[in-house]
Amino acid sequence: MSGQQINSSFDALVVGGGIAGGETALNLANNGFKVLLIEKELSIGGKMILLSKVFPTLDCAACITTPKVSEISRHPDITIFTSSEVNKITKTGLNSFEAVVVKKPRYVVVEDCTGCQLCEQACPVNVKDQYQFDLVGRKAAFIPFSIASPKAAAIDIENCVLCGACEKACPTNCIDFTQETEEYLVKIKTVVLATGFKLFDPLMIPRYGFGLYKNVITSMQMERELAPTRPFNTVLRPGDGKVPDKIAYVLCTGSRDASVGNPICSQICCMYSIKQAQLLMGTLPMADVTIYYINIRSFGKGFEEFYQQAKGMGVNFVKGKIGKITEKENGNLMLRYEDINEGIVKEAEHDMVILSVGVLPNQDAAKLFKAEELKLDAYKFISQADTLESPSKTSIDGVFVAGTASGPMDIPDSILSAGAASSEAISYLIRNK
Amino acid sequence: MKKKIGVYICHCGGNISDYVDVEKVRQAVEDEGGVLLAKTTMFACSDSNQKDMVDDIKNNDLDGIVVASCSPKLHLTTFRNVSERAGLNKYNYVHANIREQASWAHSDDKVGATEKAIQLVKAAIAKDRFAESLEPNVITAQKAVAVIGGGIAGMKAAQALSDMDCPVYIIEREQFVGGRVAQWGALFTTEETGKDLVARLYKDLISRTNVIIFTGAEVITNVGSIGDFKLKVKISPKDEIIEINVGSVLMATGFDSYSPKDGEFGYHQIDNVVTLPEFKQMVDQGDKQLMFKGKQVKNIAYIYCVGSRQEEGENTYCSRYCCTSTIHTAILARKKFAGIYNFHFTRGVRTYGKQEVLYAESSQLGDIYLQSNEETPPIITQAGNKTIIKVNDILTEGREIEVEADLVVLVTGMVPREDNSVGTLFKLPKGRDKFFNEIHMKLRPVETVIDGVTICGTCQGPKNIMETVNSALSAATKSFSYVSKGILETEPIVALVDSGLCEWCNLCSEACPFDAISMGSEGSKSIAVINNSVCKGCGMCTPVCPTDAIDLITYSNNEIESMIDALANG
Amino acid sequence: MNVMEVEKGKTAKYLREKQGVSQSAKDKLKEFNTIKKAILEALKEGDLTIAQLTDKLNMPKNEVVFYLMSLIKYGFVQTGEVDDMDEYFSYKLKQ
Repeated sequence: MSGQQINSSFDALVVGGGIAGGETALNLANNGFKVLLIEKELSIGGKMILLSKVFPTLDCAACITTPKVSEISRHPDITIFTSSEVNKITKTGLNSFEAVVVKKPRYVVVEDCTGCQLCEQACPVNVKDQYQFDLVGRKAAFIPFSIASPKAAAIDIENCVLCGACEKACPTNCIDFTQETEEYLVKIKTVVLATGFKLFDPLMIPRYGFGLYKNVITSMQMERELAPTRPFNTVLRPGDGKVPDKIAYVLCTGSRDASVGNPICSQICCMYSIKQAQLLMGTLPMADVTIYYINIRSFGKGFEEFYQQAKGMGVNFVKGKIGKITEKENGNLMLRYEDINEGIVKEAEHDMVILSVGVLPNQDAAKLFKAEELKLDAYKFISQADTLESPSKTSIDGVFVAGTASGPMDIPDSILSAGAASSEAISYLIRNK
Repeated sequence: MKKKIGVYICHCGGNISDYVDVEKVRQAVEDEGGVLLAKTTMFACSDSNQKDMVDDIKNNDLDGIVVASCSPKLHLTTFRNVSERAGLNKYNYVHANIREQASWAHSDDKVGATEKAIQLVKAAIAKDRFAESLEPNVITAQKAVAVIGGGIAGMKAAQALSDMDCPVYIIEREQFVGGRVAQWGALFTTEETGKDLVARLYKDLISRTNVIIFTGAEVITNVGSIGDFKLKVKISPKDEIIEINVGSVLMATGFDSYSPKDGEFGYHQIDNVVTLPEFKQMVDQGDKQLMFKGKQVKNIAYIYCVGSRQEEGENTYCSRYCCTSTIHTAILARKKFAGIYNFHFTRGVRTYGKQEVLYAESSQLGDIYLQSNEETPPIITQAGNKTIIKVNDILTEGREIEVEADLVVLVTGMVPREDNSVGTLFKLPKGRDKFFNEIHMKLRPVETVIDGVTICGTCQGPKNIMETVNSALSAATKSFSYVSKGILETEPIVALVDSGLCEWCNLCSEACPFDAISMGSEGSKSIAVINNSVCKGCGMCTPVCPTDAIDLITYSNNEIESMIDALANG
Repeated sequence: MNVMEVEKGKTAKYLREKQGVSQSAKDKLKEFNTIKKAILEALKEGDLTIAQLTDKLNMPKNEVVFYLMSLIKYGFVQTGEVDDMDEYFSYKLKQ
């Protein structure tokens, strides 16, 4: 623990380097403010950088995210810390805060790493790849994913056997196991929380069989199967490697469901499921895709047309909430539901099931402030003190919220929310100069 | 002519390479005249490839680059910046779109798509041979923004601009500010009424010395372009004309409520059929009992999606705010007045996000929800003095359900303003849904193709108050970025007159949609003179010139002809 | 030996001497090596489908998928042809 102080004062601290945090940081920096951007993962880009295509335009997610990520990482007024977390923020005055930032060791000197992947090839270890949501393995010395920023290796120290093969293979000698956790004390004038969301864990609904039945996967796992940097050569079911041809989507998994503690609608799942269904119709032309829903929420610009387009492509929409899923010997799944249109309970057989998991709050954000109280709303998202007039204000003066940290929203809404947060942060900085 | 061009052909993660054989394209162009190196890459826009490009330019002393990837709408700026970082003037970079124009357009013909891609890249190389270093045109930017529309979007945008020390003019057509929100009482998520919210904002705005509000005002002419818009504003009732000079215009003109046609669900024919805005006013103004035309209202029937999600009509979109607004008002009516029963004739309830709790609350209070398809809407009839609504309800296996209603509320959505003449004045394009169109929903959500004009709020599409405020603040930041430095750089891609050939016949000036050409003189000769700050490089003047005296920089005859040669010879 | 004296290129050794390696990490590596060997051995005799591979090894099918896909990622195995029903691929050693 060094407790050293680096160039420790900034105008703004942005917590979270996803799309909302990134956009906020860019807006602030483009207006001449110095920004410190803290990201917990090895790369900025949040969840968006891991997606395949985005609705309703079917733009490739990587194509839109990478240039933004590139712009953020190159901006002279934005300092980025990855593998870092904010431990504590204290308000010390009218427009001054102090934050303790903890940077975990990556064991690689990022500036010297060329992303050549020789260390990755040399490493003997194999563990589950969290960026492919456990569908395939990765090494203990690894590049998180090909479009990561920074595109540099990292060592997963818990699974590393310290054999030194990576060190020997590295042509620039940038692997350094002497790195230690570092702690920084920074002084800032305003804080923007862009800590994002967590995906619902379907293990909480045992009757859907996730974890037990290997051909029941989450929407994020299917997203990876459809992305250009996919784990398999095509869409396969993880239970036995078969190319599926009768795929089912179970909407509202973990949303609109008081029994698992989440009564609200996650806002994005209808649309992302329809999007994935369209992509599946393209990748697997012989496949049948059925979406089991309560209501289709296609409310945004171009959404309704996108929904009609999916219907036109042959995606089946069945109104009925799935009650229970059971497995057959061949790995196929039986879905039990009430078919609302026909008014009877039915069972349908599918060879692969995707659970459209919902958006849950990232409750880590509440722990950031010790002295002041960062209020959370009834659903544990960061509370908006003045929802209609100033949507980015929180219960603490000078602290703002951007993106899904305040509630479920899609990418365009996150970007506009970040625009609002940066605007309010700028107003705050100017007012209290 | 260039001798050291670098060509980069993008896979676009499969978006291109799934249909175009990018390696074949690379091989076909690597020996073209002037090409020093040709490479393929997975994502041309990725950080690592951008770094490689910078290195290539520096190490090989490249004098031009061609990038063959997606539409320039996405990454023109990205690759121009790459060029600059490597020390190469950005106008030496030429783009070829082999995604939208080859891969995506011809996904059924891989061979054809590849050949077309080869030709497109060769044409881009042909053009790049002529490319020259250019310096942008520098103009002064008026540090002031005109906000058109004084509703909640306009007011919040003005607040943000004023905070950033930017003078703002709010130009509001009505005699009062506050738009739609000022007419609403209770709002969801807050104890405040719409009227109070607007009053609070107004009080703050009038205390600011850099905000000037014109009510009863309309923009009647618009001259100039980004950095220097000269607007003439007519102010009623005296019809005085004032002129303001601003660097950016922020459009926040709002929406109209859909007005049902006569007879649509009984509108204007059955006397107890009202629209959602009318109902909201009734609920706000009512006391103890809800009365309509002297009778007490007990049964209220709500017919959803009137004027939205139309199968046959023009409005195919969902109006986003109405499910929540209706259910909120229905709950309010139940709590405020005695004896209310609510019957919701829906097409699927869309209380998205946290608004879902209203749907649950309303159900728990005893509201009845029915659902039908687009093909079989509810039917409204009058039997004597009773109004009956009948529907085959999906939620009870198609059972026919009848409700005798004291009041029928048509849940009408948002439509673009009927009088959108101000949009036409600024030449703003519209989307399929007829609302104003942003450039790109994710990359550039508040900008339009008209430089210097931003859009926000419901004039861009249906949204609720919180979403409107988010978009207004984003647009304010964007508009401010155009004017904050006091100067702006505009594209040097403008028309160029060869004074030797020009005979001043006025044809080019008449053809120019932007009034960028006027008569000037060179010695004793009258010639055409281009105003570089106003010229948008559209090229309308070039084909009309009888002496071929006018050319467009980077689209000169030489360049176009050599591109045609490349395309024709394959 | 303190941090300042560690030679570049020998830092793994330094950390190994300082804190050692957890038993679970060692066990996981051993397990992977065993499975990797078994899969590569099985494929030596010819192309196999997941089902055929599972018959030869004593592992649940989904784990065979996981390890096989990982070996493809690392360059030891490659995907072969799909069967007549377009359902199952066969896999072979990478040449």
